[in-house]
Amino acid sequence: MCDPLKEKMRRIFIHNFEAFRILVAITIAFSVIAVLVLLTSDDAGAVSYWFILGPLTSMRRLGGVLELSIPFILCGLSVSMMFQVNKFNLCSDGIFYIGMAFASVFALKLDLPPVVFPIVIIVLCAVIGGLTALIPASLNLKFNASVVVCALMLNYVLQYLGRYILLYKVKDPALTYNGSAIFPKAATLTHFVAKTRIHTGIFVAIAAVLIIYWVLRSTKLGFAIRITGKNEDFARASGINVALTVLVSQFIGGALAGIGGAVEVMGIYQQFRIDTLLGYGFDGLLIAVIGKNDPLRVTVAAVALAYLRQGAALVNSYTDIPLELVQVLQSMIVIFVAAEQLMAGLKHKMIVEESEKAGGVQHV
Amino acid sequence: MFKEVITGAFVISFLYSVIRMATPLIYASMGAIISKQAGTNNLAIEATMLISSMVGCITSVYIPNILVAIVAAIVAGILLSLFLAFMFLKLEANCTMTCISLNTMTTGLAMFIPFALFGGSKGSSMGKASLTFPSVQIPLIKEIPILGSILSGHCILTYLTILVTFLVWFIIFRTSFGLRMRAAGENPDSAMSVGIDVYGVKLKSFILTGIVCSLGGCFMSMYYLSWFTAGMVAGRGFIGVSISNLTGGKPFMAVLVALIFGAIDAMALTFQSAFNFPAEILQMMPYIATIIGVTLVSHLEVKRKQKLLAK
Amino acid sequence: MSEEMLSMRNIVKVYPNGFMANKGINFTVKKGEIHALLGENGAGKTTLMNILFGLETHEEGEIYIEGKKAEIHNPLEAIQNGIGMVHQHFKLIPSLTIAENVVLGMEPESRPGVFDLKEAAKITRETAEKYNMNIDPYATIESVSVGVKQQVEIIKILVRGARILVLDEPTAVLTPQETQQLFKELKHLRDEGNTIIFISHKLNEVEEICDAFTVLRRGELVGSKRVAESSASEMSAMMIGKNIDLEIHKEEPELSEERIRFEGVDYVTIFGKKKLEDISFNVYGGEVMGIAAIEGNGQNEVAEILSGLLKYQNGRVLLGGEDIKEKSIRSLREAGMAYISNDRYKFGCAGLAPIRDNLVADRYFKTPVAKGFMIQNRVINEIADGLIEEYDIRCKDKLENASSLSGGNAQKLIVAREFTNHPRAIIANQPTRGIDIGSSQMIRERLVSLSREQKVAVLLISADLTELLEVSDKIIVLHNGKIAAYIPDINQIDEFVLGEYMLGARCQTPEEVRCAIH
Repeated sequence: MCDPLKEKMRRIFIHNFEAFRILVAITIAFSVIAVLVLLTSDDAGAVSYWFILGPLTSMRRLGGVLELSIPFILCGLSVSMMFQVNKFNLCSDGIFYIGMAFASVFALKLDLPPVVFPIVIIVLCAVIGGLTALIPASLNLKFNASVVVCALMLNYVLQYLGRYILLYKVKDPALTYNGSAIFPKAATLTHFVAKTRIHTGIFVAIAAVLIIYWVLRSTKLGFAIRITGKNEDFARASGINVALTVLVSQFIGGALAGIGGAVEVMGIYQQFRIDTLLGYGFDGLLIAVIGKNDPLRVTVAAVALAYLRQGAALVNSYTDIPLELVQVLQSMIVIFVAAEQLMAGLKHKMIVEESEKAGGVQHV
Repeated sequence: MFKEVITGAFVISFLYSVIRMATPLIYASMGAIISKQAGTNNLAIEATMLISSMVGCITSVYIPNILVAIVAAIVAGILLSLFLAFMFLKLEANCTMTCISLNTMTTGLAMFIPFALFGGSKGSSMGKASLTFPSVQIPLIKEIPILGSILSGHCILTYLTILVTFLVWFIIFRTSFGLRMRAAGENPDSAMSVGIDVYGVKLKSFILTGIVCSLGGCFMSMYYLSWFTAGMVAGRGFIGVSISNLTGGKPFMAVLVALIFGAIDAMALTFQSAFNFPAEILQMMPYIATIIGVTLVSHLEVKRKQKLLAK
Repeated sequence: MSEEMLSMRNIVKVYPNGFMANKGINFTVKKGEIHALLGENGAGKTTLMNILFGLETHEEGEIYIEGKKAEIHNPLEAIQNGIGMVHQHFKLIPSLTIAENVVLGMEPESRPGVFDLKEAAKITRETAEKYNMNIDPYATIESVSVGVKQQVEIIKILVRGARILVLDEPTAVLTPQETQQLFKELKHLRDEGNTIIFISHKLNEVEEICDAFTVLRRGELVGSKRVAESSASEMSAMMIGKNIDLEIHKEEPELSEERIRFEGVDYVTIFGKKKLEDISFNVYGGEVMGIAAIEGNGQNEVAEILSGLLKYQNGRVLLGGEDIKEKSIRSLREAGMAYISNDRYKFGCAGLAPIRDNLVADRYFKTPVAKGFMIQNRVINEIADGLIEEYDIRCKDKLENASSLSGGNAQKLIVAREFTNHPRAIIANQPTRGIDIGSSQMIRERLVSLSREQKVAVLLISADLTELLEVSDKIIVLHNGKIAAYIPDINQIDEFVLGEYMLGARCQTPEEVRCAIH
């Protein structure tokens, strides 16, 4: 007879296999980074301190975590909506940037009363983002073009388009650097927590999470999206219009990224002065993968990543380790999580043993 | 206005730029072609070029020997390819995700390592004395009026593309290894049934890709610019992948298409100063062209398959 | 008296899940003969040949070639022992030329590493001409016909020195003319001293070309005979055994209106293969129409056309009196179509989705589940609980993924869904394949009660003849994409005759077939 404790642990392992796998991937990635830090830093202790506890040491720093959570949540939701139907439409990064650009144009060229102004801009940028995301999606649907390549190329196109807008459409000649005029107060999102830059955009992010959660769980569209993502053939055989479902989910994904850009530029910067892609789209990728496309898990992953990044920023300021190390860490995590076979052999062995013990063989 | 600008000198310098801009694209597309013929959708060409451009340039700062720098760059390219091969062949990772993440990971490393080694600004080796390839004037050719100025005076890596293209073509289409590689790429099941080691063949193809891409990386940081900066590959790896797809994996066609893309790139550069055209609009062109090209080719491929199978 | 070429002795094969595919088989083939290996799907013939060719391992038994023991653990060793196999699905590389495909793995080289295409073409041409095959070594595989592709496969194995050739259902993909060409080549090969093993279902072909045959049934060897001393009927009888009697009590059908109608329907695949030809039949509400066919004879296409997954070319298909050609799958389902697919995990359910969602995938968008554009999870839970209990779906929790269900329970989930959305016509495609007796019986009884009590038109497609005879009221037999027989009264037939129709050993007159529209 087998050891009952071992049995119990084995069962827990199999049932929570995915969580374990992600944990292992994160551990491997962290270990590699730890080695790099030990090799290059003079004060590994300070690095650990600032990285792990740093964000908690002051209101401003903690605020930084929440500020970063806003675009992370929105981009995470954006990518996860696109991934829901198994389309690697990776243009969220470009759409985020172009959302910032167009929001600036609207902020400076339109004139609307407060409260209404930002809402209108957000809606407009959502639509622009949604339509942009449809470009790779429909090329893929109609012509079987690679979603990934088209989306990645589109990112570059959007970068140059945004830069064009910055340099030629909204540039304020009075400034010594490339930037637009400061937005009128009515077009900004107020900072409402003292000592931080946390802005009302956080409510937009929270609302987005709740709406997406609700859509996926309680609407007909959400059901169709979920089933299509789990088995496209079955969805089709059950009568679901798969093409339409895919397009709608891509639109929603693009809209979320557009909202993210608009909120970021109206909340944090309150002027348009960025001339490159911020890379939040790829952070969104990591968040979506860790969060397994579930809105609530994505939110947790987004905040966790924001915490990590804030820690890295502090490490960057106070020690000799630069920010980019976290980027490397992040990518490694995704790589290892994406390795399906990571520990899959172990899982298979355990499952086979468990089913043999359950006794009886099934005739095929 | 046009007449004034389009002088002989302008055209010559434009065509010269075309060849210069096309060089890294040729290397990228050769690397992509090898992977494509081996049946792998390798999107990490970008990362391979980036890592080798960084390693090559930085090595030359410490060891001022250009041969050593190239070798180091090639080794870096091979190591990255082996890592990708391990993830893809052994751990059966999702190719797309792994490649995308490798790209962001190398970008991070590209920012981090120069800083760690030199201090100063991140992601750049500007200010550090690194080696560059000299421009080579070819003895007889440079005497030819007009053509001479266009064809002569490039770096040796540019002229090497001719040899590399030929070698890639020869290996893929004229050797037994190439035959097995194409078989393994197109139908691994059938290849295995005649005893071909699909795993081994694909591994070798990854290594070859790594070597070719690293040459393109070297070109970027040791001739195109005389320093390394993290954003210098700027999507050329992906364009290389697209060129490979557009031409169906045919090396000589790829050179032609690479020249076209090089022309678009060169246009952005020269037209900007000549016509005061906003650079950004022109810089978009290669990428838009890629999207259109990829779409067109995919569409035609679907049509071709249908026609063929309806016989 | 020719001696033994191949002797497989006491071959036992057990799969990891306990299924015994080969139960101590003793298979012998004489030198220089064409020997047919017959048996239904699942009889174990593919497994046996895979063992011979080194594609699968075996638990017990030995292989002897020309009296000497042979160790075969992989295809390369099989090839070294002179065994070559032409699989049903060709193992060719489409974009490469015929010559390249033939020499792949043993490439001739003019210089080290450099491939010699001319030499490859020469080798190919020599072998082809030796056996009167007319091919162009420089043509690419994707540009030649199926018949030529098969010739290339044969050349491939001859070039590697095969003296025992195993052909797995070679004529399944050939036109009649190509089949005749193949037979000429096979006879030539045999006359040159080669030994050929011919796996087939087509009894008429076995009679035409084979010297001897062996029948397998349910993993066991039933018998071997010389073709000249036997007949198609005897072969058929040996292949079709009798199942345990599973009695289903059913009354005489009371027909309501016509629900399903096929009129002169053709279906040609994008590959140009004609899968259905001039199919005409109808089914009324209240009756169970069975379709009996060996796999690959068009029954799948009938099911997928009716369920909206495929579009037919000629003729008309009516559901409840309306042409289905331009209709979406949803509108078909709303008109009362329900489909139990034979591909359980592709079209029948989403393994990665919860059991609960799988149960309502066909009705989530309408009342009572939907309200406006929202869905009510409470209602879904109620429906799911009800179905799980009513259909005895053994699961721990309805929120678990469907992939956690055993095959039988997954099928119960599928039928629970398909039977309960107010169906008026149900297409059941191999509904009890591979599942336990208890679940199978339940599904069969439900099908009958749906037809009797709810006047549903049931179209039952099955390879299990006992099941067909128990459950159906009338039967259509499909062979080669055409209706080979229509049996209006199942009491007038037994499984042996049915088997003969299915195997092409017997065929009805066109007048009798026309009665399929009744």
